[in-house]
Amino acid sequence: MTAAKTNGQKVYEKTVARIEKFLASQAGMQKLGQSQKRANETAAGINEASRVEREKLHEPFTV
Amino acid sequence: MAQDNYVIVPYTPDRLTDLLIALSAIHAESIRSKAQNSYLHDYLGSQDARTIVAETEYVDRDYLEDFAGYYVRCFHGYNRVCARLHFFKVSFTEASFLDLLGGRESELTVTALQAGYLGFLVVKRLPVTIIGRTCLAPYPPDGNRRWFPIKRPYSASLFGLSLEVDTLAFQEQDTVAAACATSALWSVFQGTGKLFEHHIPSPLEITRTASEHWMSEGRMLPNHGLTVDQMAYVIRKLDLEPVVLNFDDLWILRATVYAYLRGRLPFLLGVRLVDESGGSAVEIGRHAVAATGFSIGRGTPSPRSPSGFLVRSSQLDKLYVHDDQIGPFARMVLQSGRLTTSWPDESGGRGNVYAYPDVGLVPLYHKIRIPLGSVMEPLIHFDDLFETLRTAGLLPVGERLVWDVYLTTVQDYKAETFSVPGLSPERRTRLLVEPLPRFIWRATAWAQGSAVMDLLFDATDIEQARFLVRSVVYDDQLTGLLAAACSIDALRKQYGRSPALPIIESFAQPDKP
Repeated sequence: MTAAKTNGQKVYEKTVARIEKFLASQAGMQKLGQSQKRANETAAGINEASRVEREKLHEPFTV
Repeated sequence: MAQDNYVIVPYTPDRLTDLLIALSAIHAESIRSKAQNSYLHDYLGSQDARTIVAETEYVDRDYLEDFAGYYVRCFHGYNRVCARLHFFKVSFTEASFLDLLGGRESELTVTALQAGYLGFLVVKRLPVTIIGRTCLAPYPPDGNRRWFPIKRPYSASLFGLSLEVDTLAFQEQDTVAAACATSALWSVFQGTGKLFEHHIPSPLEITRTASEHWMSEGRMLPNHGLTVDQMAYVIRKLDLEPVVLNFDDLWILRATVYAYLRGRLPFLLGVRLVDESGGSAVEIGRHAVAATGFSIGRGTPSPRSPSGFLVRSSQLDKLYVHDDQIGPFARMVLQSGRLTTSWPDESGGRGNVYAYPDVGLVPLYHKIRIPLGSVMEPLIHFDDLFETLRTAGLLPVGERLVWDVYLTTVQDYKAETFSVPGLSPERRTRLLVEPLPRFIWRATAWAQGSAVMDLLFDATDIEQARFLVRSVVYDDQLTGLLAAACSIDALRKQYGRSPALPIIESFAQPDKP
């Protein structure tokens, strides 16, 4: 039980070190930059598609 | 004498049609061509209706308002009294029903009647538009596939028997006091009236309010339709705030339906109806319905380009709507860019008239100030960051997160948290006692069938504020890794101006409100 916990702790610490390395690297930052660009485009696309044209507000629902 | 006041018959589609003819002023040919008539046959058949009890004299408040406002001044003497049909999924005879009423020994019990009650339908004694207030139980949930979150109890007293049905009321437009938009709004207000405790206006009151400042080319009465502006005005007069959305994009339609209906908020869906029978597309016109339920298909969520953001709402395969020209909980199947309908085409056939979503109108309690789009934006940014770290092998989650985004209340959130398995006693207590706003946008991330995290946004805040109120990660190791990643200066610098920053900062300090 103690050994498993120690292993878990080791894996955790190793992963934290890898995260630090990734975020300190140029490749990591480049990936985050691309991620932000994708997210911006996705959110902007949704905002744009949600916008209602004014004409739609004035035409009655009749049937 | 008593027999004049009621009719009890076994349910069959023909018996129902005969009763509708006998209790209204409609011609036999007209009722047989009414889409509502055939829809009710299918609907009540699927609900296993067995018996109809008709009260031949019933005074309905909503119809009385319409009657006083219009019909009473007609030269023709329209009847102000309606009839009401009650439907049961238990078989019984008139003799056993009378034994029960008379207090004699009966094979029928009050409990059996209450358990088998499917609801009621008010029949107006008019020549064409005869379907008044209708409260019928929705379809069964079929596992967790069909969702009808907006239900409220409607009680009916049938000769002293207390009956109740959980549903949302429906009625057909009468084309005099109400057009389709009025009927749809009336159904929407049945839901919001209960939720936000406002007065529920009758169809005539809705039409009158809508016409206070906007007179379209036609008369107020008979009414031939309302615009979005007019409907928004009626919503404001009830101290609610109308949110208008464009629904050309079905991803947005699905996300909106899911987010608001799960929050028990019905809303108005405006569509363009197109008859595509005979190889040509003929536009019928703009039509309004009340969105009241949805079905979640068994497929996988569709990614939103270019980030590949996944939401559970993208699995919606059907909408259920109160369509005054069809019936309550009418099914509309979501197809590529359009919805199927049960509308008859030019030659009376079915399956050829499609609804192209146009606009949505959501009536919100005035304190719900943060729209769905404002929650989606930070989520999309955070999700892409999470996915970038996950695919780099830095976060121990086996598949891409699927987000479940919907409006909820503090009461519902805490009730669900109370029954979440696996939370430590300390954490659970902390989550339950911490104060939260009344209305919350909840975004739950799922992976491999388990909830990974919850992000709670204050729906009552203002958009400029950091309206994330809490983040909860359900796995301790992931909590630690996210805290480590989100505390690294390089990441925080990179996301310094990102909409995801409040989420990142929240993960840097886990469990800190």
